[in-house]
Amino acid sequence: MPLNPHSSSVGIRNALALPLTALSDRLARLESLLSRIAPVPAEWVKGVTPGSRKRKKGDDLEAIPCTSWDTLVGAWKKAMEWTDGLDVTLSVMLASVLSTEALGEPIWLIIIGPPSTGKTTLAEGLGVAQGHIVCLDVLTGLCTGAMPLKDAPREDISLVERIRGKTLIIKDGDTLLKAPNRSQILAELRALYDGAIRTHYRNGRRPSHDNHKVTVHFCGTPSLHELDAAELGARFLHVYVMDGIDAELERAVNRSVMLRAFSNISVIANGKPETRLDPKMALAKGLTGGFVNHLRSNAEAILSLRGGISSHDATTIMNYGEFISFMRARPGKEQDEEVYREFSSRLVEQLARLAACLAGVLGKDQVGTEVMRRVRKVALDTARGTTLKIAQYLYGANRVGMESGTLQYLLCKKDEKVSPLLSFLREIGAVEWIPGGAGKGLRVSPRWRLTERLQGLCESIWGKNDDDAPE
Amino acid sequence: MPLKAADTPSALRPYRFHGVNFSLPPGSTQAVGDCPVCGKEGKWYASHETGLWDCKSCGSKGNSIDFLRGLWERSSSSKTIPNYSMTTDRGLLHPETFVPWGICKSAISDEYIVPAYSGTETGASAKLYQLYRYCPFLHKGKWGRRLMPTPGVHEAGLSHGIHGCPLYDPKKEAVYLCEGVWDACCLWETLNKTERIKTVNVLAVPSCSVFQDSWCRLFSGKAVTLLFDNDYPRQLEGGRQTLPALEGMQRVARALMGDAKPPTSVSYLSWGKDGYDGSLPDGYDVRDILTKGM
Repeated sequence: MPLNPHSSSVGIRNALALPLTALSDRLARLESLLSRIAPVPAEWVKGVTPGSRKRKKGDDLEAIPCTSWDTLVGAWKKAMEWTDGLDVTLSVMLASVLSTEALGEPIWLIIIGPPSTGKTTLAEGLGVAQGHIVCLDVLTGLCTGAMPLKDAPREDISLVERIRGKTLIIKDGDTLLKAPNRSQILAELRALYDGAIRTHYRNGRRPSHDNHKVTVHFCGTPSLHELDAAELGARFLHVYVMDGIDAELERAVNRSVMLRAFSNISVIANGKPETRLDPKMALAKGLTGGFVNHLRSNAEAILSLRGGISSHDATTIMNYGEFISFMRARPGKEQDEEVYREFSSRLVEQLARLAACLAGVLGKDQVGTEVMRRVRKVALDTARGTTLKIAQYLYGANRVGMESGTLQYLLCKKDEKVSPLLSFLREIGAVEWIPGGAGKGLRVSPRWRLTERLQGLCESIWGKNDDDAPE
Repeated sequence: MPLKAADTPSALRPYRFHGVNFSLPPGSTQAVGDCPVCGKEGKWYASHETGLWDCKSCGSKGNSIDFLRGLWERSSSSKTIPNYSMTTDRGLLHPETFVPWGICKSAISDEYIVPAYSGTETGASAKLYQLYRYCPFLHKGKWGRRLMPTPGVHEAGLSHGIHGCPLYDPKKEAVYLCEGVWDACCLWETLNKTERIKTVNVLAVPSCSVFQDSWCRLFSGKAVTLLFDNDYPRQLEGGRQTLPALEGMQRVARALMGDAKPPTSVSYLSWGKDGYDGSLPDGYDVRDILTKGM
């Protein structure tokens, strides 16, 4: 029911206090405007049916034909702006690649990038696109299994046979390329590509393996920089270094992942995962900007103009925002010139993402020591995208979070050997190193713990934990 | 000496458009200028090939979209509310109406800038996609002002964004789509004083001829009302007549109803049975109705 502007009891109590006389005129004219609204004539939409303009799952992109990686990167940039999720983006992109390049002649595609930039998702997207995927963490032998020369009913279990008609994806290929017999392995890959399956691993040769071409996709890490493209022969579609060529793409990927974490939180309810929206986290993120260690100066104004937010919720959102901006603080100067700057800033974003996930997964009353201990586990094990795996664990997947025992041992033994992330976290005042010691019969192990400031921020969001054990 | 417009490489046009002072030394691939973030002279570098920029003094860096987002954030956080002359000129009753729409004065050029979005995110998550500048424009021998998109940021055909995404609430059942952000601000300001605002989102397209397919998601399952202008027929070459606003609404309606998830209904502002109302001036719009009546 519209407000009665002539009523003396009408109180206009917000930032938009309008002169009553002008407002009453506007309201009257608004009714006049709305009286001219009519349904669109049928002929406007004649022949148009829902879905006649096809929209792909989750986004509005059609597959964009790509003739080169440069075009593909451009498509990915557009896709990152238009889609809600990284997975869908990559599926669309891969569909584009496959539709134009991978059909017919097999190709090699090498994707090189730092951890957590989507390489694995890209590989899995290939599986989505083609329906088959054979994923190897370590290439132990392309042609295992033997086939006697004589006719004997024995199933050929070689990898070549198993991947016939499929796409071979070699994940985290740096493990492969660091092998001492790298040249031989690469020779085998070239042979696979060329369709000549003859290696000394095999005891025999099946005629059906002749001229058997395999599409190979190779997902790697920056160690592939050392690879001489000539070693693999002239069989590449392109060698694409994600971190070297396109920093903005990396930022776009991180923003998308970060955004996804703050807008959706998986919660285990009755044993089943379900996704709930956390609008407070999404709002809190909007109050921060860039890599600065504080909220935007007009954060309160934004919240107040948003409307419909109680003062309690507003306080919560501001606390969230403080936490997020703290975790996203710019790395220190001495790290600016080092490769770890990007690495650390990305990991900080992941930590903030994990903290947001934890807030939903564990429940607010459980967050505190338990939450930050898990966050610390992430800090200790930062190799090759395992943070994402840990996030999956936190979302409820049945997988134990991984912790690098070796690294932890080193941390306890000698604090100079600190992971880049911990070094950064120490610099921004998130964690501090407590040396061990002994006194009055007690032996205190050396360990990392949260600083008072970060503990205070966590408490302001999630309340004080009953567990008084120092973290 | 600063580059002239005709000499500016396309990758650097976004920066020149918003008043960044720079020059391109002969033989160099890097433009050098004054940093728009910290203000230090001669510390800002930008590649004329890629458009990537960085400042050797304050360390800020990025591409053209980073620049736009940073510029808008700095400009909007300065808490400078548009003056009353701008308010009345745009048909509003209160200058603070500009704030939730993100309209503010540029921290570089002091001209008004208006953010637009891609439509994929809404609310606080909405990311700036395009930044329009309210700049002088010569039209048919007369100077006026018009909102112009930043050139060189997006590919041709994708340079426009939609206004109002930060205020968009997916729980609301209806969407009013205006032609132009000024109409949307005026309408929103008035609706905000009624109970209707609880069920209605207000968005704006930059012009009646612009509608990206990617915006359809904002209207899925909603009751949509198109509120374009009262455009008189225009004569085209070859003698064909066109009604820009009416045809714009037709295109939008077809795009929406053809989407996989169409709106629940599409209505429009019907000016007259011929598609326009000859008793009202050409170009009469929502703002005119609210400020002057019919």
